[in-house]
Amino acid sequence: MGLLHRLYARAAPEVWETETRLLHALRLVRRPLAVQWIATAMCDLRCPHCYSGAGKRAEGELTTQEAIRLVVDELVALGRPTFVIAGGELLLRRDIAEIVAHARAQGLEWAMHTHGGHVPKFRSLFERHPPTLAAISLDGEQRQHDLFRGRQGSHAAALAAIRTLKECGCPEVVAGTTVTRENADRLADLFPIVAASGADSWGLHLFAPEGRGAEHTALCPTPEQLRRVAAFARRKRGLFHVELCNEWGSAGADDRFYRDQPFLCGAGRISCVVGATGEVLPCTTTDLRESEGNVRDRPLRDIWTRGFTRFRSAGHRECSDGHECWLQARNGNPCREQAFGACRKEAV
Amino acid sequence: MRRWWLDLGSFAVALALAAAVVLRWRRGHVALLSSTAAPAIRLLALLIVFVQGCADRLRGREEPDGQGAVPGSQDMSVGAGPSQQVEEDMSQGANAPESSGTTPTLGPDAFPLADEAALGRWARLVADDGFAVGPGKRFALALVPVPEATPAQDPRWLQVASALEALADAAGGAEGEAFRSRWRAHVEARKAGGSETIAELQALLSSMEALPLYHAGLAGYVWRRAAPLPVSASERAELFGRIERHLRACEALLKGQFETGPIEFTAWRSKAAPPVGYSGLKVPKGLLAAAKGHYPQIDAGTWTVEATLSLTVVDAGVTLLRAGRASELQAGQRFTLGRLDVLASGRPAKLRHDELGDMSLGAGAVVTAWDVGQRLARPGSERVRAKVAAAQSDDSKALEQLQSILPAAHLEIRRALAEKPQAPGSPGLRTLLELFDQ
Repeated sequence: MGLLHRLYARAAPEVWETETRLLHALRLVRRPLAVQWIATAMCDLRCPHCYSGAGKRAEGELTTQEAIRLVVDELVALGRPTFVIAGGELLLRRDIAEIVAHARAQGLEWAMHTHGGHVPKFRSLFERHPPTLAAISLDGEQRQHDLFRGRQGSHAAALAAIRTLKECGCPEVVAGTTVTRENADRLADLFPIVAASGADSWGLHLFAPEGRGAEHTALCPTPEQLRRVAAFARRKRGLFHVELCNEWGSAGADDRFYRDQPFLCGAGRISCVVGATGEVLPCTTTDLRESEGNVRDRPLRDIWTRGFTRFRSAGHRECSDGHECWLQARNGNPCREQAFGACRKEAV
Repeated sequence: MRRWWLDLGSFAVALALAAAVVLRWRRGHVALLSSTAAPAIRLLALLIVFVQGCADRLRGREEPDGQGAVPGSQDMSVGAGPSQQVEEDMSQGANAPESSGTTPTLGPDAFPLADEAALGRWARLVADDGFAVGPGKRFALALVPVPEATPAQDPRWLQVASALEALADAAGGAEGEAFRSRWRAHVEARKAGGSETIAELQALLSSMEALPLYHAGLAGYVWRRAAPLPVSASERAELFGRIERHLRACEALLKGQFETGPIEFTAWRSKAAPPVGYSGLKVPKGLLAAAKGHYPQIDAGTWTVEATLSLTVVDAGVTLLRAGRASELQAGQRFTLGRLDVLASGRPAKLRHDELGDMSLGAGAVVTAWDVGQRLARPGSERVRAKVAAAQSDDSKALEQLQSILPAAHLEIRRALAEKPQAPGSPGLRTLLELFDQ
């Protein structure tokens, strides 16, 4: 296996692409590794970079029974992928404990993305069913974070959430920072806070002009900022587990300097998103034209197996190119390509 | 002896499988891939890619370097090793001879981890064990961010001391004790506000490598401590040469892990006590061979290609000491000054930067990326000062410009940050400094 692993690692994106095409030709579909559910569009913060434009509850959100029957039970049939719950703010849903408990009873591992403000209230849930992974948003040092999130104390709440989740036995708590033009040059001040927070790793996301973010495109970092952030992350990986997240796309062979695994876009290939109203999307886009169907109309497993063909066959530009972040590509956000500078030139 | 019905059975099964695929294809049915079939499909895909690669090579479609690089591109991570860069520089100058007077003595350039046992010891010091980060990483995280002149009563020193003890305990043996005493003395000296000698820094590096602890963050720390010290060109070049090899070993190990898979940890699950020396860490097979294979060509990563300064030699008589080699630079020759380079001038000479102008080197001068900015003539210094002031007022363009002249500007940036740490652009300058210091 050692030799095969080396061969695979050297050409992972090519093997991945070939495998995807091969499966498509044989009319086979991989089981998803992770399915994200946007539990609600409700959120008590109004962050300008929010990819889901969260705020009020969306019309026609899935009910408790629908979430259990149409999402959780379907995941069991799909081979028990990781059940990632995001939002909005998932912890504003009153039935979240019931849904998580049902998922755990079905043997599903679960993960969550939260701003952290409500984590202490759900301590007993996390003690009973610790998530496999929890990502807590941290956008800057105290003043900047609170200013950006529009609420005093949200920075302290995020740090408290990290501590609480660790105490509850969550094996991997990630501090997630969305890099914008506002905070890209402030990461040196944020690093010691993250390192001392108790988080296991630091995920550097990249602003995507989606949801409310589409109204604030000026938040898109400049290419020079991206280069600086990438260079910063590369240096800090020697000291702390820092990772450039998927929105950055591939750095080619130099992925090893920024990530634990080579980048391969999983949208529609190994992951998908179930929106708050049941629409099944390849990734966290708010554009419902990208929907492959609604779980209220067709079972999730049917949507997964029959849909997403544009991601699984050649010739669909950004959809079929696993080297690019599909979400960024569809939004025509090219500046990140320069993040890796000279390193990016090399083909894998 | 095989029976005929076995062959027939196998043929029938294969035919049935093929028929099932064809039928499914014709009817437009799609099925979920089973977990048993998944490895077979992966293997098939691997085979196809391998065969395609071989076919490409046979057809000669590959680039001459055999890596399929985009035309005109340069692999900054593997191809531009230090010796290669010196050769590039030399090719731009006329008949550049190699100098011997100031050449440091570094010994043979071999991958430092000799066998699997040494690799295993290194892995124990740097790899996370599933519950906590590796002791080497923990020590680096505690020590590297502690700023200069941090008072002895600062709680961060307690974390440094605790991490140091844990690391020395994990290393064990005589090497661990030597490491403990060296680094403990260094930490105490820093707490007391004293500075160290180049020999002490050499000893710190030696004590690390004896463990063997190869860690880019700690090697960078040693560089940062050594860079401001006033020492001879050969002493400095020797230490920088050793750091360069240390960093290359780190890069080779990183690259190797990306190919073989990372070092993995498995917790001890038996009720019985684990065997003596059990760490739970599994070093992937082939990592040593992969790292050894990469080491001769690999460069020092960001230490080679980033935070550099492009200069032109105005007067001959300047020697560039890089990676254990000394080269005479010729008048008119362009070269890139990196953080691990040392310049020595036997007689008064000048260097020129396209934007910042001339910088003077007196007879016997020793210059590095750390102090090259101090050699700038007044107009150049004022340009740097103006850019730093603008960046500190949150001028993003000035910040970008400073990034391209970091060696010439970092001292001025440090001065400005000490003066106005809370200025609007100070966080940006602090981020920029990290790119120079690590």
